[in-house]
Amino acid sequence: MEMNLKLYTQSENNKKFSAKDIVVTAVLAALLFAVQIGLSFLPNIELVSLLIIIYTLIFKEKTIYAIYIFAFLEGVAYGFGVWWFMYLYVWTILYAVTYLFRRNQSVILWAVISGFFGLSFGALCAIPYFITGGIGAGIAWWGSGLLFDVVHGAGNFVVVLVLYKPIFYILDKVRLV
Amino acid sequence: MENKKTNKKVIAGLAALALVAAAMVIGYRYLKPGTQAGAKSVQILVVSEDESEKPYQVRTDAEYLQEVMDEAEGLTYSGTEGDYGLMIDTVNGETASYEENGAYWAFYVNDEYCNYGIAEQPAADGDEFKIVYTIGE
Repeated sequence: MEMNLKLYTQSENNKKFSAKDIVVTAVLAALLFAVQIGLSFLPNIELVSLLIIIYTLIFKEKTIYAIYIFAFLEGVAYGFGVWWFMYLYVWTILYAVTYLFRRNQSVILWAVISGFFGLSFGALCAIPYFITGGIGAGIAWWGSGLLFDVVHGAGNFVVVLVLYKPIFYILDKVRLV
Repeated sequence: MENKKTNKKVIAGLAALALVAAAMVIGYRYLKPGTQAGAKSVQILVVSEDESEKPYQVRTDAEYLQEVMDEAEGLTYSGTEGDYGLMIDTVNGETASYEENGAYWAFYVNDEYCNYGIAEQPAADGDEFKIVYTIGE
C-alpha cells in the first residue's frame, strides 16, 4: 500500500504543503541552525529569536516545522541532553507570542518583545531542572544564569533593532519567489 | 492618535524591559551562592573512567571551586566556555566526550550534585568535591 506522506498545514484554507513549502521550510530550518552555530562563540548573542519572529510574520505555520527541524538538528549536533527538551518548547513560545502580536508594526516593540524573551530564557529553560531536581535546584540553576539572561535580553533588543528591517526585507523576497 | 498610542506602548515596553533587567541584576546578587573566606581545607577526588581515584587535599583561601582546582597541585583541567561558564571536558589529560559516548565530568560536593558551574560553586572548609567520569544514559 502506498503511504501518503503529504503534510498539511493548519491554515484557514487548509492548503496542501507543497514541494516548494517543504524546500522553503528546510531552508528556514537550515538558516536557524547556521546562525546558531555561527554565533555560538558569542555567549547569549543570537539571531535565532529575530529569525523566528520574522519567520512567524512572513511564513506563519511553516515556522513551527522549521523550529522542530532546527531542534532536531541541534540534538544531532550537540547530543540529546536535558537542555534539548527546552528547545522543544522555548522557540514555540516565541512563535506563539509573535503570533499574538502579529499586527504590531513597530520595530521597537519587536525589539522589546525579543528583549523580554531573552530575559525570560533562563527561567523557561529552568523548567526541566525544577521538575527533575526540585525547586531548590531549579532556582539555583536559574539564579546562577541571571546575568547571562540580562546579556541575552540586551543582545536580543539590539539585534532586532538593527537587523529586523534588512532581514525582513530579504526573507519577504524569498516568500515571493 | 494611533501614533500616540503606539508611542505610549513603546515607552511602556522599554521601561518595563529596563525595570525587569535591573531587577534581575539585583536578584542575582541575592541568589548568588554565599561563600566563606579564610583558611580552609578542601578535598577534591578525581574518579577516572577506569574507576581509579586520585585525591587532592588543598589548604586554601579560595572561595570558589575553580580557584581550589587551580591551587590543587598536579590537577589539570580544560574545557570550553559555554553560555553557563566553563564546561570541563578534560581532567588530568582524560577527555570525556559527550559526542562520542555520552561521557561527561560530573561534579559533586559532599556527595550532592553541584548545581553551579565551577566558577560559581562555593568552597567551604571541610568540603569534599568529587569529579567523576560519567557516562550518561
